[in-house]
Amino acid sequence: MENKSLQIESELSRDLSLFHITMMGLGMMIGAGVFLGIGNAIFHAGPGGVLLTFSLNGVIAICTAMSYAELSSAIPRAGGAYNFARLAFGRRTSFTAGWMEWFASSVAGSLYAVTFSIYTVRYFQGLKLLDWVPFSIYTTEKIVAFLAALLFLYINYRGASETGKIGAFFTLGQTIFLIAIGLIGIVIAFLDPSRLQNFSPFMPHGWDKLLVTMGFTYVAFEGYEVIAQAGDETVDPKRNLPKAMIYSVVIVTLTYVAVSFASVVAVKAGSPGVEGPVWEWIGQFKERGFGEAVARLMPAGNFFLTLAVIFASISALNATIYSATRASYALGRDRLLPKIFSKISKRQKTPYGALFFTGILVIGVAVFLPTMDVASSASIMFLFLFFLVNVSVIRIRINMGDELSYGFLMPFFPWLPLLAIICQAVLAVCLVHMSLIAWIIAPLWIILSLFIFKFYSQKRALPTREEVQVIEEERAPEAEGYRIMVAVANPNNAIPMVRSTYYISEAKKGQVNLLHMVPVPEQVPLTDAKELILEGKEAIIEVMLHLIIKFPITTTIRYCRNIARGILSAVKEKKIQMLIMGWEGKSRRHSFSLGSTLDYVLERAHCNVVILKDLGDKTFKNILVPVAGGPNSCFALEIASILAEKHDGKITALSVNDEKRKIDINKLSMPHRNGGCILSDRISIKRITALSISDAILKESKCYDLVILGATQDPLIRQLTRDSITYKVCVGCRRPMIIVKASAGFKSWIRRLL
Amino acid sequence: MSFDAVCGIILIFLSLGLLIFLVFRSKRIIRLIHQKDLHSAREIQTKINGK
Repeated sequence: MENKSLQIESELSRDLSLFHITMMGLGMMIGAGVFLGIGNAIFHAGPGGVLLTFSLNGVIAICTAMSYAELSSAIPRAGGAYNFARLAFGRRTSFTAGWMEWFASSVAGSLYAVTFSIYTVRYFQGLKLLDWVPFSIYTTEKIVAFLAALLFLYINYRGASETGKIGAFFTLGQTIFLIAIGLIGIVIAFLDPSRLQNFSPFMPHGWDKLLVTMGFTYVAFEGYEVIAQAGDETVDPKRNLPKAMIYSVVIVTLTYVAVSFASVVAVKAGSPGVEGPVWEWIGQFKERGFGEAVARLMPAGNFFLTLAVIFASISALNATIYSATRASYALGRDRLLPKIFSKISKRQKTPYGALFFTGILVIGVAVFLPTMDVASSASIMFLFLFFLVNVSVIRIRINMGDELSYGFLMPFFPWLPLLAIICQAVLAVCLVHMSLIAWIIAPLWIILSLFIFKFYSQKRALPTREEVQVIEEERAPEAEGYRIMVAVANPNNAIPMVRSTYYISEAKKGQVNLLHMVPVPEQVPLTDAKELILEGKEAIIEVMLHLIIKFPITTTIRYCRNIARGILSAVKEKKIQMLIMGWEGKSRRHSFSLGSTLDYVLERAHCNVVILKDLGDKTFKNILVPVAGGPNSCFALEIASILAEKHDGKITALSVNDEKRKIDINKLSMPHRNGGCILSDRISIKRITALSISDAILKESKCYDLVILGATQDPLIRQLTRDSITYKVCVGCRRPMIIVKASAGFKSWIRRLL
Repeated sequence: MSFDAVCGIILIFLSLGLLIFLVFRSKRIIRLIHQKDLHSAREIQTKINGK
């Protein structure tokens, strides 16, 4: 139960524009990765391989950026992947996601602090400006790393606006510098085309080295997490968050490709000091390869490069501290970590508690631990995190797509996240070649999160609206035998519905459970719903008292936020085998076929579903069943048989455009796996040929008392285009109708999805 | 020019082309969602498909 005294007050100022958050994303991406990565990539993959490395990584990155963009637009709150995983998988997984995110961002911050200190100290040392310092170079570097981390912790404490603006300044500087290098390279290649010979051979070590270079340079594309973290502080987040994520990935990809191109053409073959092929000469310097190449591209190249690396490290450090702080703040906000993580400064409006602990982690790792192996484990964790986000986007779209309000929807769903999942799994495996220790640290950190969740977070976590679907229920006695549930939206329609469906329950020798869902507005806590929402409850009790004399039924009332999800949860909990619902005959909203609740239930229910339209108190002597030979046709014939037997009626199985006579009533009449019985002696088959199947069924239906139709078997994605035969017949038919969908198990689910 | 170089250059331009295409496609989707005041995935999907 929600205890108001435990609620944590939290507020964040909303003042980051599209420019600021795009620059924050760029700042996190253009860190040490690209500067250190280009020389290594040329060494391993060759001059053409480095271009391919960054362009292909850009494609993988934009697939994940699309997932982040879609989820951030629907859930624009601080927390990023942590929030997405919570909605998709629940508390435990989301805690692990937040925990990984906090660690990965903090350690990446440590790496950038150390990179900054190394370049700064060595540059000043080269200028003989550090001769007075009494410490060794190593100690000086550690002190500078400590001070840099401390400075940016303070800047983050000053507030979101300052964080974004200062970061934006540094990021803009480094991006302009890199673009300038790229442009100079293109101009030089244009003026001196002989330099293009540097790309020969294009891939000297073959294509297999490409995966390794893609793996270790992927760190240069990990920037959309920090944009997602800014959800609480961004102006118009539903529009700006997805834009910033997509723009930042495209900008860095084009920049990296241009800079890689410039690095290769920067050196003229045969110039003084350059022996052998140019790519080999650049590659021999490995991490410093980019710097050596740029030094030959422009005057004072080393100075500008050092400046750019300093800019890049600072903005990446700023962005990673920001991201790590927000991740731990979200954990504190939901009481998965101690309350102090969610404390907000009244004056600065920043989460100082989360910032403090992030600072300890960043400084501790930067000063005391070997950073390269831990940085590799941060990379692996980022990849795990992205894997989780890509799975979450698929799960959330399928399960909650109708409930969330999206500001962006990715195209080519679900192919883009699936592509990202496969590619990132391959890259994560390739990182084994870089650091085996990382593959030990990362699982250990995840196992630690499971322990913390089990022994601390699980007991203290605050319940949230998304988690609670149904918390109050008036339980009916457990049904025995075949379990049928009748979901009644309007208690006034319950009597005719139950009368019609009673025949089915009699034939199936089952028990009928009458379910009434009471939707509770967001403003009312579900815990108070039982006392406050009396109207629906009284009506259903009246119906129950009336029906229980005539029919052996039980009733259930469930309180929920969303009716469709409430029905599905009841079906799952009670192991219902057949769900019966009513349909008034039209959808209120254009985007749904039968209605938001019916569409949702039809798509996702794992039991047989029967939907009744206008059955009332009528008798059915002539029943039309359009058949196509699938499981729904069998189920439709079974329901028709039950009703025909009761009313001594006839069934016509209508087959349209079955010229090869594939549909055989004798085969359809064989007892199928639901154990139903189809009365073949009451069935006659009618075959017709028509241009439009739906028009033919509608024309034929005018001669019958009842039409029983199988729900569409179109894949879920194609159903969204709303042009199924079932839909057209449902909308156009003026006769009483039953729409059925047979449970066909896991294979059917996969087939429908794809 | 070697076979590797031809394949590699095609792949680079395809990747960059795909990136640019996805950006314009995404911009169009964002504009459509905000112009038509769409909310759920189904509503947006229906509009994108032009139904």
